[in-house]
Amino acid sequence: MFLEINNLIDVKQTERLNGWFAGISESSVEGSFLVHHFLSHSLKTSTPVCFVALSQSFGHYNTISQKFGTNLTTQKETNKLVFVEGLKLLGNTCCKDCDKGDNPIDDKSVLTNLLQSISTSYKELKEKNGCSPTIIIDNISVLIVLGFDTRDVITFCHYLHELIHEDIGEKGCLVLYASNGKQNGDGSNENLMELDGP
Amino acid sequence: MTFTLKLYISNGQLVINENEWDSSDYHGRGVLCSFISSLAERVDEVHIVCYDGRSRDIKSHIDVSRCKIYDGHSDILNWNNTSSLNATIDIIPFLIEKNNIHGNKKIAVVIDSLTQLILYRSASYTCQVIHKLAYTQCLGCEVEQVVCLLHEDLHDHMTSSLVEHTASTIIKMKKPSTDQHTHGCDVFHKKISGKITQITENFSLTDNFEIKDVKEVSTVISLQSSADDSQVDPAANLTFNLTLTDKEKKARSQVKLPYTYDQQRQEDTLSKSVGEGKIFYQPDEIDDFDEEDPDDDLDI
Repeated sequence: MFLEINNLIDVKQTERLNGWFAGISESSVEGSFLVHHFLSHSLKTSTPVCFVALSQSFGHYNTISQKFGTNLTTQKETNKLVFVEGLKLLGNTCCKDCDKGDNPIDDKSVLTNLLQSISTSYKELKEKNGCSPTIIIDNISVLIVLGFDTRDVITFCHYLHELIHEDIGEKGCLVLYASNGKQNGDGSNENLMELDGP
Repeated sequence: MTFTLKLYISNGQLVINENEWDSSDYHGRGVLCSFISSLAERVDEVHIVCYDGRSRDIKSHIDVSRCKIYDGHSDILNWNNTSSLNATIDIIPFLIEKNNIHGNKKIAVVIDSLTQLILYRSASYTCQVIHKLAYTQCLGCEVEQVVCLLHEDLHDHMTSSLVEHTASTIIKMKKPSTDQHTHGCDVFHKKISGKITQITENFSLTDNFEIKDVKEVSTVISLQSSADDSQVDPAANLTFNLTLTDKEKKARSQVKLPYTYDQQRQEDTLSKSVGEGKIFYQPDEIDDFDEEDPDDDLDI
């Protein structure tokens, strides 16, 4: 399976995905397996990964990765992987703001905080490993479902895109997974994919 | 430059180069680069405002000696609190502040792309800005040309037609109709006289963004067969007669209409009835009595 997908996207087994901005969207088939593929491909090519989980727990990804022959706990210990628990971060920021009585979703600082922590992890990984990491976000549609404005989510993706292109020379890689827009009832996801595609 | 579309080379032009997402292989950024190179030869300064992250490559492709590039994409909404250009800063005051523009200079402004401005500001704001840049001397000097890139399919029809209305030339990129060319485009140009020309062209882009092998695609108008053109006579095969023979015309002229003045008829009537009012119509000499059907001109 691993080999077939790589052939399909025209990537060699040992090739790093520098400068890639991969958007994963779905039609009628569940596309989340590609998230695991990109995670496993990056770790196998010794590219550090900053994984932003917005829908599943660390245990979920770890179990699946073990089937691919990668232990995420070991990767974390050897500074090859940073697991950003996005929902927990968002929850913390939201709860803190809820006390003030404002609607936290309207506040862009929630997204900038998330961006800030991704950016910090990205830079740390880069420094420790000496090469540009991969950022994987699973899944970006959660932000829209949470009530963030599509425009803000697009801006969030724009900043991530800028982050991987920040340095001259080797570029990082960004993988965004957006679940089916039709199921979510509006075209927001579609807009998102179109605006910030490769 | 070999771009045959000489139409572009006039003052105050506003050119919108539209890009279809689906045809990213035929994207407009290459054409934008060729515009920049040709403008750099013609004017004193080319000011390039970049809102799109992908426009960072422009720097590596063009001769930057006469170009000033403003990075508006790395902190597009000022989330990082940097002082660089962002979508919330108005371009015109920004350009005036950053440059020492005086009246004798000839400049050109390139915006890549309008999509971000439309997204973060509004379509009407964007149109106002590009209109001001192109047609008023808001920068304090002559603006030779304003060239913008727009991803048409990211906006609704109303927005794109609003932007198209502001522009004097619109180049829509599309797939070339032949294999020998790498790009194809539809060009709409509105002349000052009000005439609109529309041409479709195929061309190739070299690695240095020179446009070559420009070939106009002539639209083939299929001639309809003459059988379809011949008009069918609606009066043919009628069950009644529409025309009159001479004999019938003569008979008609002898018919006396009721209430018209006639000695014989007047006497007949007067002798029959006593104590009743009668109406007789006697036309005056100057009266233009028309025997024709008065409703003839109506399409009944």
